Amino acid sequence: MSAEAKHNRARAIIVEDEWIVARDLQHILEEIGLEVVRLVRRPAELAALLEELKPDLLVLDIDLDAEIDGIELAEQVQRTHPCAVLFVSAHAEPETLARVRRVDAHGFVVKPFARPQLEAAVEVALARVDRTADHAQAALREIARVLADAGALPNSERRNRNWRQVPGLDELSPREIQVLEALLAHRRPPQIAEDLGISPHTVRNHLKSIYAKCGVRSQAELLQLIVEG
Amino acid sequence: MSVGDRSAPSPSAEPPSPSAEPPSPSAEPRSEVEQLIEPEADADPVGGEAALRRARHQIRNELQLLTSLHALHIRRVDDPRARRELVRCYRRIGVVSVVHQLSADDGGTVSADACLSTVAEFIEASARSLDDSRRFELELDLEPLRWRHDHATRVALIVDELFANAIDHALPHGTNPTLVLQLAAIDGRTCLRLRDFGPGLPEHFDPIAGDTLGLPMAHAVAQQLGGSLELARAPGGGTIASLWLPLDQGAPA
Repeated sequence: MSAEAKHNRARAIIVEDEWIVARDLQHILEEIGLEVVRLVRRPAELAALLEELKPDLLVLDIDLDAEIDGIELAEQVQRTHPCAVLFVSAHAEPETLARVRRVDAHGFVVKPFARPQLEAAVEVALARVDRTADHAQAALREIARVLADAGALPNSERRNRNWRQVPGLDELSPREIQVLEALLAHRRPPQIAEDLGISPHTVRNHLKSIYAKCGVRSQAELLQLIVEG
Repeated sequence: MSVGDRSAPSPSAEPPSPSAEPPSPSAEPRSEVEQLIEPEADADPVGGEAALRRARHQIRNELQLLTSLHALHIRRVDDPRARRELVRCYRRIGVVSVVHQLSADDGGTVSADACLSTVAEFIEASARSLDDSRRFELELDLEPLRWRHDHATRVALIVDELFANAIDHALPHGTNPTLVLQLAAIDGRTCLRLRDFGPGLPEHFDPIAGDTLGLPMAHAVAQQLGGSLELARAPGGGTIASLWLPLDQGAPA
């Protein structure tokens, strides 16, 4: 398996208060070639381990039945130890997305997860460990997509009603509307270019024009504006 | 579990500690009988929404426990027959679980196509990771439709049964290990089809006869949902299983 070759040195720590789920996560990560260096049950145990074990990936539950939750834990960890953060949680609400936005997350898997979803998210999270601004935004879009697919964010019909109420987005040209709708249907710019039979360059120009009309600078900001109003 | 979750009474949960918890009316001790009675609908819509989320969240966590525990169990079983039966159980819990990843909208419906692709991909991944001899290629062709959430879990169980049938009877005897799942609205009905490229149905095949659980269950549940299940030889070889359901079940409940 190609994933195996790619991640054979990636080290993971799993922070999950349910032993059964932690063991299942461990097996799956090991089967796709990661080394699970520790299972952690309480957030307070993590800080000391980071220095010692230097993981590449943190798999974090959000509800930890402790004084802080997984998102707060990620926030603390990232100040001292940059590594990929993948949330695995039954929380799939717009508020979760809003909170996840504040930390530098690399992925989100909704519980109860299916194995291919976890595998794909791990792959993506490890590929994005270089954390450039572009990657951070791509990660955020991916997280929003996962939550939108879970029905946690407005579905496409409702979203189409909503985005027209965003100031600035009521003035789009027909072509810009097509580009925006494709973007909200999780198409990426190269696919949108192909769908609409226009060049990627033209898609970028349409996007820039959309950003300018509603006063944002990126796809992530645009998405946030539409989702959170 | 979050602090919020602990306000829901559960026999296994520790009693909430007063020092760690803000006082909340729902955290007051309730008698055993009271705990079995559904509380009256919350007059406060915001509180109602929060309660719904907590419930959803708890269901997801508990289904996660079950799928994970079964996955751990399967890894400890070597006997091929026992393992196959355990995989069947694991898949049933799994397909219902992944439907619960989806949150129903205000009308109580979920995306049928999102539901089916997640279910089919879960089954495909289970075949790949738990039983290497039963690998198959999945082809999806799904129209965007909506189903009631409670119907979606039943459809998922039928779909699992259809896949099980194809995996057991078509894959070992065919040269093309492809399974095609289609969803379309046809003549005012929802048509869900699973096609395999195996040897096709035996002569005089009666899916309801016999003492198996799977296909008779799938037929009965299809009828329960107001639909029907048909198995037929596919043109060019193989079998097509068609599940017909009323289209209006996607309408808000």
